[in-house]
Formats: sequence, C-alpha cells, structure tokens
Amino acid sequence: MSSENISAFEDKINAFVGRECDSSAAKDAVNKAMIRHWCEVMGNSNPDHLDEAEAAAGSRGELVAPATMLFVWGQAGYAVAAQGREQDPQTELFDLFDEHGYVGVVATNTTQEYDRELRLGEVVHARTIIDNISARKKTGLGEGYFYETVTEFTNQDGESLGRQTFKVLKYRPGNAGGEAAQ
Amino acid sequence: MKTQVKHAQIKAGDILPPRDIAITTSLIVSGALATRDFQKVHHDKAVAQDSGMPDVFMNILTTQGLTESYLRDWCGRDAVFRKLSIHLGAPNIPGTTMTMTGEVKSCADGLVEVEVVGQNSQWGMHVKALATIALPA
Repeated sequence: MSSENISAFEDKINAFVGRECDSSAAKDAVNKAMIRHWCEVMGNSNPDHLDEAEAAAGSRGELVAPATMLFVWGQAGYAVAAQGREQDPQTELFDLFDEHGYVGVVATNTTQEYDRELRLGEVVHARTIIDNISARKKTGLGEGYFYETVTEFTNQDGESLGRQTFKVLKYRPGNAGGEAAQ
Repeated sequence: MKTQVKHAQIKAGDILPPRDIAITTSLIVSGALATRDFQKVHHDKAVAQDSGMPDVFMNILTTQGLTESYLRDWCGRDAVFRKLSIHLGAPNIPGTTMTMTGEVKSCADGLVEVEVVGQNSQWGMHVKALATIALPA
C-alpha cells in the first residue's frame, strides 16, 4: 500500500476505537458438565470444581467454576467455524484487516480480573468494547496492528463478576523482519 | 492435590515444582473445544498454515487453563484466583513440550503474586503469566 492508502486504511480502522460490540448472554448457564469437560483437558483436579458433595463440605460450601473459564461461557461455539462469527464491530474490524492483506491473527496478551468465583446456574453476560488500536508495527510474524478489547462480565442480576483485556495482532503473513511478535 | 498452602508458609522467591506438558494435536484441539474456541487456526492445519504457522497452534484460553491448573496444584483447593495476566510469545505447536515453572514474586495482605513461565522445547517462551491468588491465613 502507498503511504496515502495506509493513511486512509488507518483512518478506517481507528474509527472502530470506542465502539461497543454486541452485548451477549451465555447460551449455557454455569454448569457441571462444561466445567468437567474443561477440567479433563486442563488436568485440573480441584474437587471444588468437580464434586458437588465434596465442595459442599469444603471452605466454599458449594461447587464453583475455574477462574479462567470466565470468557468461555459466552463463546459462540461451532457456528464460528461453520459460518464465521456473527457480524459486530469486532468482526467488521477483522474483515477490514483481512481485506487489506492482514489475514494473520494471533492473541498476544490478556488480563483477567475476578471479582468472585462463579456458581452453578449463573448466566454470564459479557459487554465488549474495542478499546485501542496500535500504530502499524513490524513483528516477527509480519507487519501488522495490535488491537485491544475490554470486556466487562456480569451475571443475570447485573452483579459484577470480573473484567478482561484481550490484545490481538492482525498481520500480513510472511512479511517477516523487525522486532519479535509479542 | 497437595496439602493446602497457608499464606504464612509462603515467601517471595519460593519456587514451584516444574511440569512438562506434551503439546499434541489432541491437546490443542481438545483445549480449543473445551474453551469453546472454534477459530479454525486451532483445529484446521491448512487454515493455520495459510496464516503463516507450521501447524495448528494452542489458543490463549487453553494456555490460561493450563496455567490455572498448574498453579492450582501448587496453591491448593481453598486458594482463590483474583487476577491472571498472560503474555504470549512463541506458539505451542504439536510435537513439542512445554515446561512450566513458577516463582513467588510477592506475598502480602493474604495475597501472593506468582510468575509462571511456559517454555516451549522448540520455539522458546510460549507464555509468561502473573497470577494474583488469595491464600488462607
């Protein structure tokens, strides 16, 4: 791209900063089956995630979900592979990168804060905003841009559960050189 | 799971026992599905290669889950996670091993901060994480 075209492209992507993505409620309430399936793969044997009777007798007095499942509850599922993500500002931004050759994608940083542990039956609501987009950078994977979303999590009653920042690199594959990817 | 760790027993500089995790296609795909992440780069090798990677690669939600589980085995069942920051480096690709190590960075007011590093046998540092965990008194 010429510098003029790059400037026009960057105006387009920067217009996404501050936009709210569709707020969504998880299709499944926090449940034992999804927790157990996650624990199987992650090698997590905490009885407070896996055994209701044992959890009831423990310090928590009830079964709770693993902390890092916070974002898992609201995931869109197989439709992402079969049909692609439903359109929202983040997918529009993603498509815009793709159309301009930045087809590579890799998550680079995420921070989760947990206000408290999630209980069985709670429905996680997630509200995501596109918080910032970096200047164009050379990375070990290729040239690209980092964009960061901020998500606030609440339950069905509006109680705060936690928050997350998530940073993604969209890059042109094979255009290597410069500093290493984060 | 080991005996419950108490806050008073921990000090900065304490080292966690290391753990080797075999990085296989099965782990990468199963982790992606257990975290409900159906991005094709985590289960479809051809799509991953189109994005410039040699093979499918581990999603960040699995890295978070493995980190939480590694820490959980150290801190015991009663500890409560408050925060987890993940910095991703090299990809976790099938046919490699990730060695997880950890070190207590601070210990105050009932909270410990633990740094965890996941080192990939071929690609270098996969993850550097900082966890804040509340421990029982």
